[in-house]
Amino acid sequence: MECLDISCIGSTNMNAAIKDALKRDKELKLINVNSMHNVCAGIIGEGSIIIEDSTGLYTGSYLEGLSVRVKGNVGWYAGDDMMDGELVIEKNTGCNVGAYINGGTIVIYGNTGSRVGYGMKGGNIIVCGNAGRWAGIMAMGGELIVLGEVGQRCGESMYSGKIFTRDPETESKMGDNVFLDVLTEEEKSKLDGLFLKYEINAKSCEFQVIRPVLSGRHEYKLFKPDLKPELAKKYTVKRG
Amino acid sequence: MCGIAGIVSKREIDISTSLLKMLSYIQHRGPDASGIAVFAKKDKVTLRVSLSSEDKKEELISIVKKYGTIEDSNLVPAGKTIPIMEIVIDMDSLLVPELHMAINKVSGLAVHSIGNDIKIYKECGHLDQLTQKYTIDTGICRHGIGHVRMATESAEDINAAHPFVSPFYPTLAMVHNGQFTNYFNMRRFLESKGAKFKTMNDSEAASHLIAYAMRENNGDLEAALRYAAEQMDGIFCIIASTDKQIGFVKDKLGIKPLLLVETEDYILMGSEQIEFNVFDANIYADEMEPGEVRVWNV
Amino acid sequence: MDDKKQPQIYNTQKSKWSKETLSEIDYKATYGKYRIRGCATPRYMPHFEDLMILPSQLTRMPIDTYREDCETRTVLGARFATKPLIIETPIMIAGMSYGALSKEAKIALAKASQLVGTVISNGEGGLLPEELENSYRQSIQVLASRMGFSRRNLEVADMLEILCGIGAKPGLSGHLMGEKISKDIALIRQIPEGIDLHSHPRAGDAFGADDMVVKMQQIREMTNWETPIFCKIAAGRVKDDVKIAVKLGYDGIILDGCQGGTGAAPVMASDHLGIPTMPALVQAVRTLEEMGVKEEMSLIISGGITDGSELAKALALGADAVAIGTGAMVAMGCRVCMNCQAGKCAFGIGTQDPELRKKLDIEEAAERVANYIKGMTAEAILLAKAAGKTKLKNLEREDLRALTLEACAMTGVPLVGSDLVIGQGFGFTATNQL
Repeated sequence: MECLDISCIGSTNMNAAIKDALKRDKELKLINVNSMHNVCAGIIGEGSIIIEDSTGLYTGSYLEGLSVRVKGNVGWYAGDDMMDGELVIEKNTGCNVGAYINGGTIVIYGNTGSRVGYGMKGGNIIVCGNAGRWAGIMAMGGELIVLGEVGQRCGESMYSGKIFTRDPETESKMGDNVFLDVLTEEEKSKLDGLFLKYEINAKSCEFQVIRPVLSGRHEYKLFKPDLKPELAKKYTVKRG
Repeated sequence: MCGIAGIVSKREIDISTSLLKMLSYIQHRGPDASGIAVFAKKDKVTLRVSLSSEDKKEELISIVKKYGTIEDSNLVPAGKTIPIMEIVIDMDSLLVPELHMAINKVSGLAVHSIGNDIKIYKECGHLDQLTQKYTIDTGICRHGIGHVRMATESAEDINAAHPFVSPFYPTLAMVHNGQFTNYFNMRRFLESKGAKFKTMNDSEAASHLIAYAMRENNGDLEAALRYAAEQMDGIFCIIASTDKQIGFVKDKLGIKPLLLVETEDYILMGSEQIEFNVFDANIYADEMEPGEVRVWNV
Repeated sequence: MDDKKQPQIYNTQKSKWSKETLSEIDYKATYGKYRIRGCATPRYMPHFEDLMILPSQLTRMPIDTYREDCETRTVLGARFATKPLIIETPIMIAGMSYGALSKEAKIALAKASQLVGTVISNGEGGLLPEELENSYRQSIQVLASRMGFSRRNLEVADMLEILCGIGAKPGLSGHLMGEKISKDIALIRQIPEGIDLHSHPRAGDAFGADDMVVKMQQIREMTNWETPIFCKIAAGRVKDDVKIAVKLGYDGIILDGCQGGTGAAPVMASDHLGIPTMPALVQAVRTLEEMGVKEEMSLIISGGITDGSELAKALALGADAVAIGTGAMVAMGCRVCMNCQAGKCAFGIGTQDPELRKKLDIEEAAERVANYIKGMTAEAILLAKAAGKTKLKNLEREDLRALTLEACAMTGVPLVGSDLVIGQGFGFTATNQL
């Protein structure tokens, strides 16, 4: 296993150095990353990379085929536009993680911020901690699995895709144009497979799924008056 | 478009050096200007004023003499921007708001900070320009805030750099990341209450608004931050601090980042995880919820 | 002898001697008096369409049109009243009298206000009991004529409007022709049947502002200091009128531009009296800011407001709410034939004839007006969100730019593509030295 010390390499040459190292050895370790931005951005190929500390923004964006494990925090927009592969984060993340992903798997063992899976088109995102607000907003495919609590307006205006949750208060926190449903057998076995692979302690029978409305036509209420007719003056005056 | 940082320490340490290091990690977020505010307690009132040219020096000194005696004064030459005067004054601290207003009324003079427990250093360009121009007071204190700026809708001018203060409550300093969309309505409201605006920067309006709210509710920072978050429209992450309190507010849409770390020794706030490496590379920050307000008493 | 064909002679366009001019002269020659006509002036006036709203792109973030909220709740009259009026949308239904409109039309408008949560004004013709029953909030007009007005009206009012004049015919009294004074109308208005009504032009209980100061105290007593009291003035000498309204202690002003409509007005009055809505609004806001009371006084404008863009631009210039009149009638079915004074409205809106009135289906008309107001509010919300606002009232005049030189000079809003105003000293850049 080769080990790269990022503090010696610097941010401009970092991804080039990683690509070079991957040609030599399929397993790589990065140390002293110190929350740098764009770590492993755009790397294609096979192999696995382990990052020993935290990274900054856009970690593993446009990833294709690699398996990246971060042993610290990641910043915003991690796994952005990912094509394939695996991104495993052991601690917490920022917001907008897994935005627009096409395929692959992102596993977050800690908590995530708001707008996770923004416009996701495929792939899986597993959040073992809590998700923030607007989880899975405007998803166009893919599956988002949240083990902890979901935030407000979960699944807002999804076009397609699924959100699996076991939060008992999901119904009050759902966004518009989605509904709560039970899992099919196929979905249950897929979930159990994922949990086994990533050593997550959960069972698919605890979960419900949020699906977009079947008609496919989203309804929006632009003007929402809060009517209180009983407060009009005429009701306080005795007439007659 | 900007980067912010805030430190609250349980023990008294040299806050300004740590703040500058934190800001150097997020320099890429704001190449136009930078500034820090530190709250070391002194006996005499320190006044830092920017002058549009060195001829304004006499006028400034004549205003200051009406309120107290000048113990020490130092003129920092213009360098790449405009000159700054640092004056230490022996005066009654209750007259500080009046002196602040009197100096701001003169066009060409802009108060950067005034008080016996607040010092603000700000300059255009990169952080090196800030450290090269001033000798920053490394006196020990327990909290401070800092900012690097990328100008959006107003000029890149030294008076438009953050942190901002306001004569309504001179010990309040605030930094802001984002853009307000109802700046002109707020400006008209605040000008009717007596505020004098020195720039066209929307964050200046927010500082006057929070300070005005604090003056009206006798120094309750949390209520003032909630009031400001309700009145101002747009996207924002604000860190505001006085000599006794420090707090932040994040807007309801949660578009700008604000991370928080709380340990036994210190509390850190910032825009990116990378800033916290100054203290400990292994600490993990939490992202704040949209609409959250939190205040600590120092 | 001349067999050559005569060439066809064409004169240039008859700009002065058009059909309209000739018909007006014929009318005066036949009857010896001025013509009275319903609806508003058909003349083109500079209006809000000459302003554009700036969207937010890189520096500001637009708000999601469909998934993020924009608040429209409006508070009116909070200056002195202890119970200010809170409505759900900044659109109110302007005062159109029972007499000019049929009973079915008034009930439909009241039901529409219930569906959207806004206030409806009763107009000159007294308070129809069915209207009071069905409205969400009721505004009572106190006019010089006091037709059908009594103390009972003060008690049920959520808002009072003390009228000085309306935009369509400022300085004139109300008109209702004999054809429209049926038995019901005569009963409510307490006048004989079948006469031609020309009501009182000036209020008989307060001649001038000096008496009005005392009268304000009296009305506050009568309403227990609870009800917001507005002053409805037609746009003319806006600066002086607004100053006096502020000094008299009103909670707000309703400003009616000359594009406003009415049931019956002399043609000369609606075409040649008053100033248009947009410059009147600018002058009123400028005056309120100079006096330092802009935050306290509520400002409602009316006169030719038809869609959400005009609402958004009016709010940006400084209004707090708008009132729609003719627009609501068109939503019910009116086609603006401008013959309201004859009382032969084919849609059952502006008539008292029982046969014609049957053509108006109340429930359907109420739903149409409610939909119209909802749609108008949604349009204004769309524009505000694109400009980056989460509350409608946060629109400001620096979000606007003027398309034409006249609009730029009239309002003091910079010309499109610049930050400069043509003609310093106009509109918002005025120093009001005069």
